[in-house]
Amino acid sequence: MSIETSFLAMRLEGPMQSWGLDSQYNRRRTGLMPTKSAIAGICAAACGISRGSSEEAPFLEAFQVTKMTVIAIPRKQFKERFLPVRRLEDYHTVQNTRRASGAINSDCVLTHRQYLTDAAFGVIIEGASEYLAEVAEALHDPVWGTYLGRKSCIPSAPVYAGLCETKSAALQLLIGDAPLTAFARQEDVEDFSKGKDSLPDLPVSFASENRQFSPRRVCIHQIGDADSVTYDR
Amino acid sequence: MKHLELHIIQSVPVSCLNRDDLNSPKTAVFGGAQRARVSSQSWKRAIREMAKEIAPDLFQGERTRLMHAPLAKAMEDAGLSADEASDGAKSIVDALVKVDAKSKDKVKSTTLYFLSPLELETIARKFTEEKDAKKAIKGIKPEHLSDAADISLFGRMVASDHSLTVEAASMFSHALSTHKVDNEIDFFSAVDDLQPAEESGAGMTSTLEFNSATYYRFAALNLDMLADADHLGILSADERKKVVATFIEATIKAVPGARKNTMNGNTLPCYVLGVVREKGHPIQLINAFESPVRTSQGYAAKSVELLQDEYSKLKDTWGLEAVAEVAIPEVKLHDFIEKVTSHVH
Repeated sequence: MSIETSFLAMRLEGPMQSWGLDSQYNRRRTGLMPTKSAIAGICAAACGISRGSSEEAPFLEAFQVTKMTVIAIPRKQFKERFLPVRRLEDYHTVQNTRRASGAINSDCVLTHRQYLTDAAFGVIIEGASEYLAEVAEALHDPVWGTYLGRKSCIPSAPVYAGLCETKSAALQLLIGDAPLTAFARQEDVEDFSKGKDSLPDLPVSFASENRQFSPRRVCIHQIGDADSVTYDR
Repeated sequence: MKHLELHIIQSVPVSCLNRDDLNSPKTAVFGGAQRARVSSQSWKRAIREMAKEIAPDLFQGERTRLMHAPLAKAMEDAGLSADEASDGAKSIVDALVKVDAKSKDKVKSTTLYFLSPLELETIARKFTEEKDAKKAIKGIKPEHLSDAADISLFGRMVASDHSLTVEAASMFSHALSTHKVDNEIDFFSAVDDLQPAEESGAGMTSTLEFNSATYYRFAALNLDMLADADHLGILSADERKKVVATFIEATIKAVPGARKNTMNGNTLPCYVLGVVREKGHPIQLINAFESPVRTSQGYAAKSVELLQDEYSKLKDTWGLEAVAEVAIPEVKLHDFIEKVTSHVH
């Protein structure tokens, strides 16, 4: 590696979060883990890059080659009680929508918007130092708002956790001394031999009239699964 | 970003401010316990309406499907003949939001468009010059929305032309109760006035659901965004101050109107913390109530106490610095607004 790599740590904490992965029409669902497109969106908004602008393409190209690790960090209440994460479905009415034929629908349309409640996540982005330093600075003092998947999902702690030279230092910021194997997590991997799941959430363009995503290969570990890579901790 | 935050504690008695598809008050689980919830879109609407009452000159945005008549009139004033104006207005409505073919007079638009008077005037003038709907619409610039602060504050989405979309400068979270809430059922009966005296029994019986809650409400405003070229950059700092003052007052005072005739929930907050920060992003203090408040002394006082604790903890832990911290009822509403808006640039 000629380019120096750094590890950007982010903390996603808030009572309601929504990470759309396969939303269709009026059912706006949420996945159980933040998507890479959502994290890219949070970073791009922090930098003040508007949808489909000329700055967006190079920003997303640089983002595509980063490697993301997402860790589900259960929220604790009192000393030992872990809170279960639930899906909440909000009932939301919209008037004057359009049918596929182009005609207007005079009936009120219901949309079902899902949210995760009582969830918290740690995210580590591994990438080129220079690029991540810019993103880190923007997250620390963003140009536009930072929110957890929807504008009504306001964080309850600062999202920027730190920029580190090693992954273990970034993990330390998010989970302290706890072993990584104690958490459910999802990591970007290179190829099929390392991870068998793929998610369609790698953003190519956020332009409103032409949003594009490409697939991303991930390895999903449940709590207790051994790590594919060992870190000196 | 420079931003302001409002943290509000407000008790609302028997009410159903925001209901789901079964007519039950909305809820959410937070900290493992069910809470009363009022969605952000519901409370924002009440705030938008009140802002219009407080400062009608600055909040002139209208959501309408009836753009045609005022557009045509503006074009006639600019010198077009009645027929030219009517056709021109129709082509603009069609380009912006499509004319509804099913409407009686064939000029009503299919969807609501969030429009300001100055914007309407601009389109009419440009059309009179260019005689082309597309070019006239391209002539709309952010400064033509300066009389509709509501569009800058709450945003608008225009699917037919994304260049007209405006990102909202404000951020609201769903209001949640600080304590565990179970919805209650009101069984009611109504008397039939004309029922013969020998018949007993009610005219009808039914049930409806309600709850009572002490809410934590959160709103934030990106002051940098509000003053940028795509929003209200064209206004003077004093005018922007007035916009923000109106936003604060309406956010504090407005309550959704649902069931206002039967269960009027129109209360005012018992505590409002206003914070202005030069850097960082808005952060809500909801975690003060992650363990639901339990007390036999009512919820409001305890909630205020926990909110203040959470705020000082948050400042310590993350090193957050504020340029203004001011609280109602320690200061009066007028002074509160004065102090917060002195940081508007």
